[in-house]
Amino acid sequence: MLGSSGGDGLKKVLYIKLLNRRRVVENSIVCLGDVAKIRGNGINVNQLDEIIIHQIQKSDGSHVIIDILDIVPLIEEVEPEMSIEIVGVTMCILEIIPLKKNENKLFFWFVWILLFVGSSLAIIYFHEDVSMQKVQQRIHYMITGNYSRKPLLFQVPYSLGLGIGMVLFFNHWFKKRLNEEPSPLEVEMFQYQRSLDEFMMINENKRSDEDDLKHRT
Amino acid sequence: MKIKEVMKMILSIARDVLTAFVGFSGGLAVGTGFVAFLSVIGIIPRLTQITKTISKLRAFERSVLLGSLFGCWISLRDTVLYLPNIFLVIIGGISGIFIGMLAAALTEVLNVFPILAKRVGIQKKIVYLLMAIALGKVFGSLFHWIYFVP
Repeated sequence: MLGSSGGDGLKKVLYIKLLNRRRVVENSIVCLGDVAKIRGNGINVNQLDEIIIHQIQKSDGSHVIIDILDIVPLIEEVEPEMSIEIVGVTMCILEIIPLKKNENKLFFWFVWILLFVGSSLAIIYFHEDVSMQKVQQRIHYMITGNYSRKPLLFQVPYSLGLGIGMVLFFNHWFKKRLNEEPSPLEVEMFQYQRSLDEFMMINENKRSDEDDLKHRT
Repeated sequence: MKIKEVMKMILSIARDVLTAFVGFSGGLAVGTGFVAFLSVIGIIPRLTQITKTISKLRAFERSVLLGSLFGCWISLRDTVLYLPNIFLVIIGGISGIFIGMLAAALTEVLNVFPILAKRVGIQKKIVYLLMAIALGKVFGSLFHWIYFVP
């Protein structure tokens, strides 16, 4: 698109592909090689990879968005005689990881217990809501022919099966994976992350548009 | 006199037809709703993915159909099978697995997790939170059946 079929036909072409998102450590310096893949003939790619794009500061918050249009002038400073072909996305999200990890063990266990107690209560609510006790008493009668007030022979395997079913669905038993395919949870996490990224990109666009308007008036 | 009897018969036939019609349309609504629920929840695709039996999807479809018809029949009639107790354990376990998958598949669970993991900032430990839910369900269920019910 930018390449012109000019005279000698040996014009240098640079192909640049921005990465979708990248995690960087606080206070680090981000180079072009960190956020993009570069290919091209007759070009010193290593030199381009070293171009400094951004220095992470406190004011950046948790995310920085790098726009391809901010990168192009920096490349042209180093290699003015060349056309740039952009492949893929036009923005890269830098997620900033704080140096000191503030992972709180206590917090984690609180959430763990919260989920444990909450899901036990939820399953009791569910059982009561669908009158499962009555149904299972009836199933006990149907299968064996005798009535049981507490059909535990049915209910205990049922309870264990409940756990097995959940593990099967999520494809995880603690750290062990049951097979290689991504689990629904991972897909869901990915989709959530992508929606967040999209939201950030669009909001970033809006913000820079507003800045432009302010500059003009 | 005869005309009155004929009228009575016609009326009773009409009533039966109406009852059957109401029953049939109710069944139609529940049946479509049930299938829609199963498709939305996505247990069957997940099972075929785990067991790599995507080609047998038709058979699973039929299995669900026959299963619901069977459940319909035995819950509306007073069928008693007089089977030994071991069948209780097998059927109990199987129905537990199904309900477990249902509980896991409910989109609330899936939508809550990514947000929770982000907020808490423990994406690596999300598996443990998953286990908290699964074990919590097992515990809650056992607690319910053994201690909670009078």
